[in-house]
Amino acid sequence: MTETTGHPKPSAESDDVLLSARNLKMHFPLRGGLLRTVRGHVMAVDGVSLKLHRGETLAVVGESGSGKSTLARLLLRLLEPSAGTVFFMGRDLTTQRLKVVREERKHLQMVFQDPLSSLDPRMTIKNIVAEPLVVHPIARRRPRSVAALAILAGIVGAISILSALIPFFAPVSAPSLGFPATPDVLVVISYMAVGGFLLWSALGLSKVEGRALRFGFGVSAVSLGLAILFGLNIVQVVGSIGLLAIMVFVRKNFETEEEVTQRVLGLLELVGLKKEHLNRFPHEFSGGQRQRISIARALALNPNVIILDEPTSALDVSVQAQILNLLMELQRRLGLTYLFITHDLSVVYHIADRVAVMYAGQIVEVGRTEEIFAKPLHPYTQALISAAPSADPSRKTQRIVLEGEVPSATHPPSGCRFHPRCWLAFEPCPKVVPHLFDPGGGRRVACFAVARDLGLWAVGGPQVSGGTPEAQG
Amino acid sequence: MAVESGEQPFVTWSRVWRRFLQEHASRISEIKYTLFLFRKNRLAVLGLGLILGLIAIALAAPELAFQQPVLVNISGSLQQRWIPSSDVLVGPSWTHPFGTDNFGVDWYSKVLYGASVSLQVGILVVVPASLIGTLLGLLAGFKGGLVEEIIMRITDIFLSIPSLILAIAITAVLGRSITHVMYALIITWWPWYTRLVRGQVLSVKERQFIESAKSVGASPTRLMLHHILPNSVSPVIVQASMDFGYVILTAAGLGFLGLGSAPGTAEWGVMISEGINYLFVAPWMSAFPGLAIVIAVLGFNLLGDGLRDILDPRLRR
Amino acid sequence: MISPVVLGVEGLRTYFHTYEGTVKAVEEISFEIRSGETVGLVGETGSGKTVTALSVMRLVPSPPGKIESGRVFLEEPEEVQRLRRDYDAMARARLQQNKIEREITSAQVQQALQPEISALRAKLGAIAKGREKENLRLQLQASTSEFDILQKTEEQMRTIRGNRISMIFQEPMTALNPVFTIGDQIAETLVLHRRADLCSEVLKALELEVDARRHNVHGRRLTVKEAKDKGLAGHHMGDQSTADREIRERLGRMKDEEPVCSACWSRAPDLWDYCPSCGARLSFDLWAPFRSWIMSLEKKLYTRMMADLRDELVDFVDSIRFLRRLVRNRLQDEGVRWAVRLLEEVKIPDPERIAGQYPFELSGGMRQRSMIAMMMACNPTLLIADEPTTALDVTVEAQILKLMKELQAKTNMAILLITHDLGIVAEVCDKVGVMYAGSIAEFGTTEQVFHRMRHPYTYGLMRSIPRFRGVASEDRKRELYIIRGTVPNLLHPPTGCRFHPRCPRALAICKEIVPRLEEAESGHLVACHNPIPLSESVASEAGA
Repeated sequence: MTETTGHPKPSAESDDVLLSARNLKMHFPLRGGLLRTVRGHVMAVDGVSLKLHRGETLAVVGESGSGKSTLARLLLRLLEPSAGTVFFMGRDLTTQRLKVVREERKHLQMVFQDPLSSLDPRMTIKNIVAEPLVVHPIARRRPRSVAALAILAGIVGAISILSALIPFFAPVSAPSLGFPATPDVLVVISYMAVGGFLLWSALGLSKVEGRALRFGFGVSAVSLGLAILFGLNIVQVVGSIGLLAIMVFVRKNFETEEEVTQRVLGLLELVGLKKEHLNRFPHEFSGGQRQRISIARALALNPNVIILDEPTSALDVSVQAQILNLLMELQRRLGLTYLFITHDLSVVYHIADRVAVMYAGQIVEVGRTEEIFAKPLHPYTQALISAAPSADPSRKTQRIVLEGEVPSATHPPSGCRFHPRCWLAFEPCPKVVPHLFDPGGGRRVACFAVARDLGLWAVGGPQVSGGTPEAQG
Repeated sequence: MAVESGEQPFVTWSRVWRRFLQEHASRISEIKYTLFLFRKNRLAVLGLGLILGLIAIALAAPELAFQQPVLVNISGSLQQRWIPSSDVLVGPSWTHPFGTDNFGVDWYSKVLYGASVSLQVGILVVVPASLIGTLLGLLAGFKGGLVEEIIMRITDIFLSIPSLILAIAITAVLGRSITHVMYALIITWWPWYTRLVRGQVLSVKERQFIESAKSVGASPTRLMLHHILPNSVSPVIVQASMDFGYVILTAAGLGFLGLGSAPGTAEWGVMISEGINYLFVAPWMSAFPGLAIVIAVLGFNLLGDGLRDILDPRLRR
Repeated sequence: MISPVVLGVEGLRTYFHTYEGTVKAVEEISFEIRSGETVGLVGETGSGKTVTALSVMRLVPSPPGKIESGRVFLEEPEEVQRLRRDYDAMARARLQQNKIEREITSAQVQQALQPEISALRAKLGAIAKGREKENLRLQLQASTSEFDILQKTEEQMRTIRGNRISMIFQEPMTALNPVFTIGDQIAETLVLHRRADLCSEVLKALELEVDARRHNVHGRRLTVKEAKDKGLAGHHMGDQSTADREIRERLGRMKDEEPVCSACWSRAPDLWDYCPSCGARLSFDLWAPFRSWIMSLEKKLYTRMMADLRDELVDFVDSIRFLRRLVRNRLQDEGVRWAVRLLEEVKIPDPERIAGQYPFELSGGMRQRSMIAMMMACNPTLLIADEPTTALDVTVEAQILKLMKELQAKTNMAILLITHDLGIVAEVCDKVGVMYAGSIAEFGTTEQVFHRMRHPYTYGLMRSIPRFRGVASEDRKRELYIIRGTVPNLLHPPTGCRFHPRCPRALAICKEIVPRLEEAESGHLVACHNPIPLSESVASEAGA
């Protein structure tokens, strides 16, 4: 079902659907007992379908336990759905191999909620933002093989150096401990130390691969020099020359660290951070700045769609304003599409084109922001809107205070999940799960009471106009 | 003379140095803060001092000792022999600070040389054991499922092997040598690290930055080595530094029992066992090596404790 | 009649001495809360609001943190306050503190007034008569700043915390002990602070036992499952009387393994041989022949405990571990039953079952409610709520806030609500203080601060919040107003007014002199050299 036209922004309403989900379900099995038998399921997401159009901002609202965060991870395929499909740019993400999905992730990125724990505390900002570029290198050579060559070169070189220098260690060495084919114990220690360090640096624990390359390269060069000077073993000499040649050849084809750094600087500038921040650690920054870092990282690969999971919930009020402004500006400049998950309705009103309201793993209402706020149809939406506090003391209106708690995800209520707390609940509500239908005006609502009030309810079931579950949007 | 990427034709050492400082400014201040925390912990500083002293002694043994051993070649391997003298079983004195043994060998020199053996044993056992254990723990924690089960069961099996019995067995088959003792110790020591690292990995795995890396498209290998490992490694450091002491202790114990170095070698355990026969006549023979062991183990324990406090992320900042 | 002041904070100053330097977290805060009022303390992270609350409770972690100066008066009577002000002036004059650069501490006051205090004490000892004695007592209290809790010992604080001031924290999961049931935790507070009342409850239970024995009421202890299997209440099976239905319902809600008394079908913990509700004898009682003697002893014990918690008999019982444990268990059990009543008051459904559950078995809203129940157990005069609803959903938040207001109406306690959510403050609070970088920028009724704000920070804050009520749809997606700059580093705060680097209205003087809180209109205090004129703020509110 296409959306009706009339929205001021033409791009948001085109049929260009970038991301869509059909009947997504995520049932986490609960295992218990000795044999880990499956005892039940947590129905985190239970039949969600939605569509995300190019250029728009779709907000998904719901409280904790509504499944919105799980939904985000399903869309990214960080979790395997129990049922349903996810289409991204025309391709079915759910059936692809993970390797292919990882490729697709270039275009679909995510910004996480907690700025503190979503950044690796042991990496510098440069490495954090550069990580997407490292994982999806533009280079023609795969970095891992390059790193392996670097290790090899380094080890051979190190051994060469050490064997050249052994005579200098002799007076201080310990008595032989009977090692087979004895290099001295200290030499063995050095092998392990140097080898360890090479392994460590080559695998890029704290540096981008380029540095390992340079190290291996340098050590090979030095060992070659020493070999020539001290007239060593011909094998060592040949080995070093050969590896040197390989290094030089490979180096030319690899995207150097400098280029990556430039890219990172550009991204940091885009989100409003400075050059000095490049080599600092995450804990030196404030929450708002960390969130900016997350955003920069998400932008590194020029994605089309960004999913934001409560990006401002952990931030202060004034910082939230800055981040929201930044997000809006980036959307304008780069033509991004956002899926914005939040529980804060005022943020939704401010930046979203369309809103989807989730309750207990299902979408209960979907539509354009102004319409939903002006006239919420589903009782849960109404309660949510009325419960949202407003910064105006003169407005001490009647809040709809719901009784009861968010339903248990393992044993959800039968029929409409909201019926135990709903003041409009009547006969069919505990029995049948309502489907989303169009009450007119391009919205979608899943509520029998609404259907009945619009005259769409008949004995056999709601007369849904264009409402089979698959065609939801 | 490092190869630059061609950005600046003019490279001076001062520029390189400045650039280095700039790039690593944060790391440097981290290190400074760590050192500050370290300094505040008196016991840890004491431990470090003891260890550094130990290392110094081990390295400078030939200079500081009054008597040097001779290295003789016996069937392919070099062994230590100490020249006997006529000052048999002399008590502590100026010429012989720790006394002499039943061959008249200066015990003080032997203790000094013993330090280097103990240190080497320590390193050569702890480093491989921790590497193996960490790697396996990483795999187990990260992969989960069947791999984890298998690795953990193997770990359990190895945990139940007593180091003593294994050392005896290996010695019986391969011959008496400190290297074989080290093999036995490595085999019995690595499982502790696996357990430790697996626990850490399980908890680090759940943190949000792992998810974030996944969402960027990081492969499992990269996740494991680049993200999880650095964040799980601090308890290993603490454990390893304490294990140094325990390894030294165990190796000395095994030496005492007759496994390990050949009799007559300067190794603390062997020396203590030689001294047992003369315990009432010349108590210094067993006492001083014993004391040395105590100091070494104490040093490592204090250091390890101090490191644990320092590396605890909750106590920082 | 104006309600009395429950909490009076004067010149509170709390610093943290860290490796990098001294963090001046709270810098001279002064405000007061009256009983029945809800005062909100808003600010962003780093504004010092939580540290203020912790300082009031004296829970600031003490190696790095220290309350440098200031005074916090708890429930100081009016007369004493008046007298104290005079004494303070006298002390200040003596210490030549007239510049009021730094607020003096009570210790300093006492030191300065040494002669007067000793004189008063001497006179008090001498005079025995009513009126004058009373007067002298008040004078003594005033001169020694008796009600300043910053100078109380830790032991005295322990009788205050949880008892007269209670605190609810943001994350109920971390505040509740995960290895104890809810009922046990609430009972713990009661055993600690309300032992006398518990004793009277125990005595009542003992009376029931005595009665039951006299009438020889016997029962059996059954598990709920057994009761259900046998058919409820034996010969009443099938009977539809309301009592039976209630009983059936109640049993239905309990777990199968729980023990119930077969005479009255209420919960009968395994500890006692007699049902605590109806006194029926439940199990084989080894001590039966001695039971009446034991019971009379117990009655004596609890009566004396009720009268004087430090009675010799009580001390004797305390010294024998076995007896001490028995007594504690009995008190704890009574405490749990009281806890059930408290849980009912906070509108927790099925309180009996919940009391037996562990914190992790409950949802966030329930946990927060049980924390509130725990805090209400001792009827505090002041409730400090530190971000009580931040971790909760909007709908649950509405419930909790409503609950807090109801409880306040019932008990007339004062609430200090700390939050960063201006919406909650607007809904719930009577007065609000806006904090920035450790000082109060503006203080007044919510009406004044929200609609007639004077401080530029408050103004910026109000304008940068996204809203949806009363905002036209064309205004959506418009750029939000932001206060330029960032929150200052409290290690090196800006000189003068801490807000001046970010303030659009900053003057030269703002960099030099710290603005003091001055009254802009009645009850509305602002700390600013160049506050927003009334006309502007009202106009902007109307237009915003």
